[in-house]
This record gives sequence, C-alpha cells and structure tokens, in this order.
Amino acid sequence: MAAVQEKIAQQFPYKKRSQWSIAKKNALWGVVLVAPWFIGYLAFSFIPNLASLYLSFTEWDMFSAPSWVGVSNYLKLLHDPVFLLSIKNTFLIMIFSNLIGIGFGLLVAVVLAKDPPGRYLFRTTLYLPSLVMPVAMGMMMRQIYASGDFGLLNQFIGWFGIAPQRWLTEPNMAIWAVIIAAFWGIGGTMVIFLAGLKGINREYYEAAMIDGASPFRKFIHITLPLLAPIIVFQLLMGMIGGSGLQVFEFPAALADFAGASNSMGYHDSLGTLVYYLFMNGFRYFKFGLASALAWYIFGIALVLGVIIYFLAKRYNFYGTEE
Amino acid sequence: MKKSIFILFSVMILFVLVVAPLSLAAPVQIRYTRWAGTEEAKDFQALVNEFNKKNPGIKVVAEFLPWGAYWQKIQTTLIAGNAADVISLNAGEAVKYINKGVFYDLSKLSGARERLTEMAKNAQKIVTYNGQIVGMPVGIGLRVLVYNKAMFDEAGVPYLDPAKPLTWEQFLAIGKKLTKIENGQVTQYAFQADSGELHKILINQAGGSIVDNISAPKKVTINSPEAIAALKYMKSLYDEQVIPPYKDVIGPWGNQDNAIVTGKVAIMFTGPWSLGTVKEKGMKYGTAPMFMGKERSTVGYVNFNAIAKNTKHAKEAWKFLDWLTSKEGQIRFAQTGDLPANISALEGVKNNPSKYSADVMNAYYEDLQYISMGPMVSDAKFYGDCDNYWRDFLDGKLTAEQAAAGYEKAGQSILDEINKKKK
Repeated sequence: MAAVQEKIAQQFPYKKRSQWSIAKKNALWGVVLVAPWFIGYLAFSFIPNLASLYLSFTEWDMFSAPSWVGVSNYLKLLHDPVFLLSIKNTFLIMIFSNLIGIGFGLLVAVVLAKDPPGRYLFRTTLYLPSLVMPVAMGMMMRQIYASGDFGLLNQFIGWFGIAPQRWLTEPNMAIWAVIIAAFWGIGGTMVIFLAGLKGINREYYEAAMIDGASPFRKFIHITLPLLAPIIVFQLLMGMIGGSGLQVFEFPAALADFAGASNSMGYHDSLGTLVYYLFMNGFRYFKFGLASALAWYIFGIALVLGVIIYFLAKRYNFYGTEE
Repeated sequence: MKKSIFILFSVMILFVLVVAPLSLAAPVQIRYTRWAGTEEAKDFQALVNEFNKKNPGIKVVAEFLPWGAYWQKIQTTLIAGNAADVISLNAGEAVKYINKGVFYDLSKLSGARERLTEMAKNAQKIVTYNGQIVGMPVGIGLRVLVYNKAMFDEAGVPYLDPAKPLTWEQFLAIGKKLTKIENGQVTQYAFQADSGELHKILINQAGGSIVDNISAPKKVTINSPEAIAALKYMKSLYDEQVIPPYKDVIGPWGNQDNAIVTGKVAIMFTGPWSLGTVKEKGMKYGTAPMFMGKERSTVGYVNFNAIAKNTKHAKEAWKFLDWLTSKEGQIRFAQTGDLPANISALEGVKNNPSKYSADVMNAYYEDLQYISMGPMVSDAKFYGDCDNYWRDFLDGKLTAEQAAAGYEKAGQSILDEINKKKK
C-alpha cells in the first residue's frame, strides 16, 4: 500500500502551496464577487447619501451652485407648520393603517386558516387588491371618494343614514380617506399570517381542546404568542414602509385629483413626510430643505427601528430559546 | 484647344470640390419639442413639415409627448442642460424656469424685439423678464362662456349675446334662474368654473390685481378694495348656488371643461378644446364672452416657445420661431386649435376658422384682447399657501378683508424670500 502511495506521489508530485496564497486567492475571489454589489452600493446609496447630507446644509435649486447655509434648513423645518402637520399625518397613517392592516389581516387569516368552503376564492379576492400600485389605487379611489351622492363611499354610508362627506377636500377628513384605504391592503398581511398559522403545530390546539379551552383563549394563548415574530415583522415593514413612514404616492394621487397640485391637498391636509420632501424637491426646487427633511425621516426611522428591535426581542418566542 | 480643355476640366473639378459639397451639405438640424396628444401631434408635425419644406437649410425634428410626461422631460432636460433647441412652454409651467437663466435671451436676435410688439399685450408681459425676452408667444388658449341652449329655453332665459358681455349683476340674476332646486336639493347649477381661476379673473375684472407685476412680482397687492369686492362677488355666486360648492371638485357637476356635458350645469367656462365633446353629444350650444365687472377679463393661457440657452443653433432656431410667430405662421398655427398670439394674424384666422364655425368662435375672438394671467411666482408654494385664504373666506371662516390681508402677508413673505435670493 505504501509502495503504491509512493508511486502515485512520484507520478503526481504534490506542490505544497502556502496557506497564505490560498487565503489570498480566496480573498481575491471574494472581492471580485462582492465588487458589483459594492460598486452599486457606493454609486447608488453611499455617495448619494453623503451628497444628500451635504446638500441638507445648503440652499440648492438644481440650476445654480449650492450655497452653504449651515443648519438653517433643519431649524426652518422645525418652525414649519406644514412639516409638523406632515409628521402628524404620517404617524396617524402609520398607526391606523397598520392597525387595520395587521388587525383585519390577522382576523381574515384566522378565519381562512380553518379551511371554510370557498376559501380559495376569498383568499384570491382579498389578496388581489393588495397588488394594485398606490397611484392606480388613487385613480380608482377617485370614484369612491367623489363628492355628494356621486361617490360610492357616500352612497354606502347613505344606507346608514349618514350624510355625504367631502372626503378629499374637507381638511379634517382627507387624511382619514388615506387611512380607510388600508382595507384594500389587508390581503398582503393576510397571506403572510396564513403561512404563519399553517406553521403552528396542531398538537397545541388539540391539547388545549382537551383542557376545555375556548376558541378565544386558544387564540390568545397559542395563536398570538406563536405568531408574535410575524406580527413584529409585519409591524416593522408596515411602520417603515409604504403604509407608514414612506407613505407618498397614494395621498399625492388623491391631492392631484382634488385639484390641489401646488399643495398637498387643501390646507396641505394630505401632507406626509415623504410627500412634503417631494414637494420641496421637485415642485418648489428647494433641494437643501428636501435633503434636511430626508435626514429627519432617517432619524425617525432609526428611532422606530430601535423601538421595534427591542419589542421584537421582548415578544419573540422561538422554540430553541429558553 | 488643350488649354480650353484644361480650363473646362479645372472648372469641373472646382465645382465637384467646392460647389457640389455645399449644395449637398446636410441641413442644420434643430430639435423642437411640444406636448400633444396623438391627433394634435399630427397637426403640429404637418406644421413642422411645412417649415422644413420652405427652409431646406434647416431640418426641424419634432418630438411630441403627452402633457404629464412632457413636463417631466422638460424639467430633467433643462436641469441636465440637454433640452431641445426650441421648447414649447405654457406660462403656468414655465414660471419655475424663467428666473433660472435656462432660456436664450431672444432680444439678442435680430427682429425678435419687433416681433414681440405684434403680440397680444398681456402675452408680451409673460415672456419679458428683467428686460430679457425669454420666449415668443405662439398661441393663446382662452376660456369663454359655453352654454346649453336647451336649459336656457327651459328656464326662459334669452340666449347670451355672442359679442357683448353680461355685467356681474346680470350674470348673477340669470344664474339664479338657471339653478334648479328640488326638495331643498340642487339638481341643476347655472355655472361651473374652477375657483382657483375664477378668483383671479374677478379680481382683474374689479380693477384690482394680485401682484404688482405678473412676470416678476415684488409686491402682493390683493389687499385692496377692488380685490375685496371681487372676493365678495365670488362668494355671492356660491352662496346663491349659482355655482356648485368649490369643494365638489370630483362630483356630479363635472369640471369647467365638461360641466354642460353632464346635463346638470347650464354654463361652463371653457376653451375651444372642449367644444368637440359638446358637439359629439349633439348638444345645442352657444358661446359668449366672459361676464365683466368694471373691466373685462378672462383666463388666457399663453403658450410660448423658448430657445434653450445652450443651443448651438440659435439663429436657425430663431428662424423657425420667427416663421411660427409671423402672420403667415400664426394663421397656419391657429389651425392646430390655439388662437393666434400675434394680433395681426387675427383677421386672417377669422376668415379661415379651423374646426368650428365663425359664430361659435366669435366669443373667443372678442375676448382675446382681454386675457389675463395670474401671478408668475417661481415658488409654487405661493399658490398653495395663498389659496388657503380665499378658500377659508368661501367657507365662512374669514371675512373678505381678513382673507385679503392673510393672502397678502403669506404671499409677501414668499416673494420677499425669492427677491432676497435674487439680490
């Protein structure tokens, strides 16, 4: 055996390569493979972010050179009533849209998880509207939120004896028109909750049934705790995403329909943070102010992210954790 | 003999080397851009083709885009310094760019200053900025009263005079007759107009103004007895239910461009662009000049063409613009739907109406010299912030005096900021 090995070794001499050259080659491949992402990150994220930070300390209209104004953009925003209204509206949308989305999404998912007849039809019907783009939804909502008896929503509330409302042009009403539309998005959360519900071991429910637990108690003590990671995920996505901090297209589409393209609806009643950023940048050509606003949004997202991170740590129940 | 052959040969070579390349030289190509729907684009392309045929040394290459996409492209190309040589603009959208120095000063070009004097007076103001000519008016879209004759017959109201405008009082009186109320609910309104445009027109009609200078405003002048009277008259139109609530922008009454087509409004305030729809409906309709206060005034949308500042072919671009704004070009341009900006072409256009008969177009010709525009403020926040005051007045939250004072204060702070930056 040893003789054979020696013969093979003579025929195929093994060149001992240093650990260093292998590591170097691996590292080089690593760099090559990561490079496209890294270049993309530098070009489309890191450098624009740095540019945005710089611009936030300047006054810039895109046509002339930026001029340094220090922190005045940040201070100006703090005294701007439209900015403060936009923060209020964004948080209202964030809270209520997510309550609707998560609450009703979970409710529908729990019902459909019991495999009732026609479940596929209901699942598809409820899920499809969540695929509609916010701008398209805004166009569709034009008919729903129209004034007088002309609007479908007014016709609907009319059945309950409620007088027609001016959903988009009454300043106190407009933001609720955005929030109500969250019902159209419950299909998205429903699908994720359904997947989560299907993953819960049936034995827990069987054990609870033997103990005589009511459906409500089973929901509170089994379903909710075991869905906690998914709820936290949904909450995080909802608060930072398009139905939370980044809400923009839908109120913008509604404001445009209401005939208020120079403002964010009457009295800026449909204003949100990202919408106000857009208005400052692309309608008023105040890119310095828009950049400062972007950094405020980043700050708020960071704070929310930290809060949700601790919430997630507190309420996550994974099998392997003690 | 040899000598003459040599001379002939030399001449031929000279011709081949010098004259022939000159005659075969490619024409200077300039880019022209404009908003247009599919059908409109055909009309404008025909116009461009006509110019190209008459000017073999210049080739105008046109690009047409729908309204929304067009303005996005204008914004990005102007910022990038890659805009077309000849850019079509309308006063409302151009206001953002006029003070940014992105347009060629046409006063440097021979004949431009003289050509501008031929244009409608208010159209001249739009393109004059700090002594520069930033563009040349090419067409004017304006609004007059377009009414449903059947509703007038039903209410026993005589048809409107196609040449003589009604006074404020007369209009309010017929408005009351044309509005129908059944069981406490309005089932038919007399008039539909955009409140944002209506308040500006009424202020002009009252002899007031919103700012001191339309194209380069420095002072908000709305806080005047004339403007306050106009706001009060406007409120009376709403209070007497002559006009639908201004907040019913998306509702059964349509908008100012289609209201009479809904069959629920007797008069709308629109331009020739809406007449096609009315005609299609087979509706019996008439046109009349806008009603008047102390003075006559109606909404005018001045469309003008500017030359990009960094164009390499300013002379050729001007040649195209010069033709387009000449009497001949304007008569031809009016075929596309706009009214001519060059007043000297008006008679020619009257004798050669494009799509609608002269009796329908007469009200437009009548009002052409009374067009007025709102203030051209580069910061669009001006409009958003100031509009809140007259809306609050219509809602009964402010008096007319408070609304005018609030408007003045909010608007002036924005103007001051703009003018401070200019210094």
